[in-house]
Amino acid sequence: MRTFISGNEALAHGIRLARPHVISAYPITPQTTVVEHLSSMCSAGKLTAEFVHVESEHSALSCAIGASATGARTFTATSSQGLLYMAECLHYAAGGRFPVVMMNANRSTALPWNIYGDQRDSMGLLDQGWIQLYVENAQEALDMSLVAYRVAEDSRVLTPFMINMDGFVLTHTYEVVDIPDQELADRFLPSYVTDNRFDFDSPKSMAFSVGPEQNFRFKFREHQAMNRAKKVIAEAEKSFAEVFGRQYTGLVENYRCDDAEYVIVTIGSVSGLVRSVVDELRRDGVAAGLLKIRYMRPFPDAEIAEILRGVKAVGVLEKDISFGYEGTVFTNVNSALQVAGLSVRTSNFIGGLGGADISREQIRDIFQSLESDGRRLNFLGINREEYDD
Amino acid sequence: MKEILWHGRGGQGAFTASILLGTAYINESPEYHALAFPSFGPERRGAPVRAFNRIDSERVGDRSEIKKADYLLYLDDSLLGENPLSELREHGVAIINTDGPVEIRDERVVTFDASGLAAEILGRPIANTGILGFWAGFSGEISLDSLVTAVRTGLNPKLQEGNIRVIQEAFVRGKSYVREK
Repeated sequence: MRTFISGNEALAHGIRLARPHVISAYPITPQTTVVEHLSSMCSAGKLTAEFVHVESEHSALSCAIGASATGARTFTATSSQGLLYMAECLHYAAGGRFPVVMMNANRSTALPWNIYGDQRDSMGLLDQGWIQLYVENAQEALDMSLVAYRVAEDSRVLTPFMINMDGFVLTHTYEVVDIPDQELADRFLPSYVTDNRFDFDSPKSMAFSVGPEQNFRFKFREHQAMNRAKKVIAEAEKSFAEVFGRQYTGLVENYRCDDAEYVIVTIGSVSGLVRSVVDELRRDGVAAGLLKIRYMRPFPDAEIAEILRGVKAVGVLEKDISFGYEGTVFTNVNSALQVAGLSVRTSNFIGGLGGADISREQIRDIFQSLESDGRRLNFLGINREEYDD
Repeated sequence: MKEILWHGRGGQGAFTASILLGTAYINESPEYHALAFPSFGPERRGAPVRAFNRIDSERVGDRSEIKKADYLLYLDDSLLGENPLSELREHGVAIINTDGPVEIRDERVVTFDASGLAAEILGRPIANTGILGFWAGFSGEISLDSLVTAVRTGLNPKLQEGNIRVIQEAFVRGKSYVREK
């Protein structure tokens, strides 16, 4: 069914189609309407799930983990300060290999207090053992809800999955979304079957403590499982295209990079604007390209290096900053290039912090600056001279 | 690509109108893609707010704020400010909700008393659906049917009948404005 709905509503439909057994959540702007839609769906009988209104985000994820430990399919959603409040539990979910699916509405973190979108909340939590996907539009948010369960619950992966959506720019923007039939969703997504659960007939010890020797082995296996997700994501997207007719591009998207001289690497909702500027520049004869990173974990290092091989200059545009160094996406991209033995000129563009608008002119300026030797670290719209000590 | 920029004050329903507009385009034809999004800032009654529509024949990727619009729609004439047409394209049109003449000498400006019409029909001077209906009639972009269907699926049932009457009347006035010109 073709509809005109917000990104949050689209995501809620995706979760409804995945038929979770337990949803536990605490509202926070700009995630709130996800929870409201799911709660309404439950009370209207359109979704048969146990909806648990908890008193904090720490409890929201704890509840999802507990439910997952009984073999239930679980969902939670949060944003910004809420995600940070969950930080302790993020490790529990990953270490316990509980395939919880969570939506995170990317939002700036305090202080100064601000409810608008940047990606500093989730980028600061890359090391927590969660698969991290960043979507670009509302349709992708819906579709990836189904892909997320399929990947997270795969016995080769059993790793929790975070679907990141830019706050407001995606969560509160209305756009055209096709809501698929339940029958198609059921064909794509099998039920969750696992041994990793409390079972009276087959009792086992779960969520235990171990000494250093064993702990290290568990952590190694967690790492292996995350890496195996790369293959499982490809399989899931292939099957998704067969069932729904929509093809996604795996860990990254290569848009006109094959013969490109100048490439912007970016992530999330700003990719659409960059793609549109690439088309414009191509019409003017500039060999521009876009490399969109969809998954920050597992990190597509080989894919990125392959696409950037032979490019003259790369600008990494991101909505986060690791204070005292540079943007985290930039650090990761440089590492991928170094591992592949590539020497490509790279520079970093920090933009959109606290929800600041990123304009078409700013994207054009980035491409322009890639043609000459620019500064390594740049802040869009900030005149540094005003701030120099 | 069509770009439409709404100016209103918190509580006047600029974002709601932009959602109805986007929905109406979708009702009009399966060929259309649309975005509707608000400006981000303090959410207070009475504070200046903006809402944006982008319409195209393919999926719209550009989610940045609109800097130059094809249609600039003011729900409140107290928002006109020093340079009220700076965000309007050369061949664009500004539609301003006002009950009097505005002191802007520019042939791209059209005025319509949407608050007056709403006060008459709804008993409340809420101008958003009036401006929406007038714009549709004036521009010829979408049919009255597509707009009415958007209201039936997008507005609270209690608000539907009155607002549909507002839209029908405003649509006719938008059309006849063009004819008289």
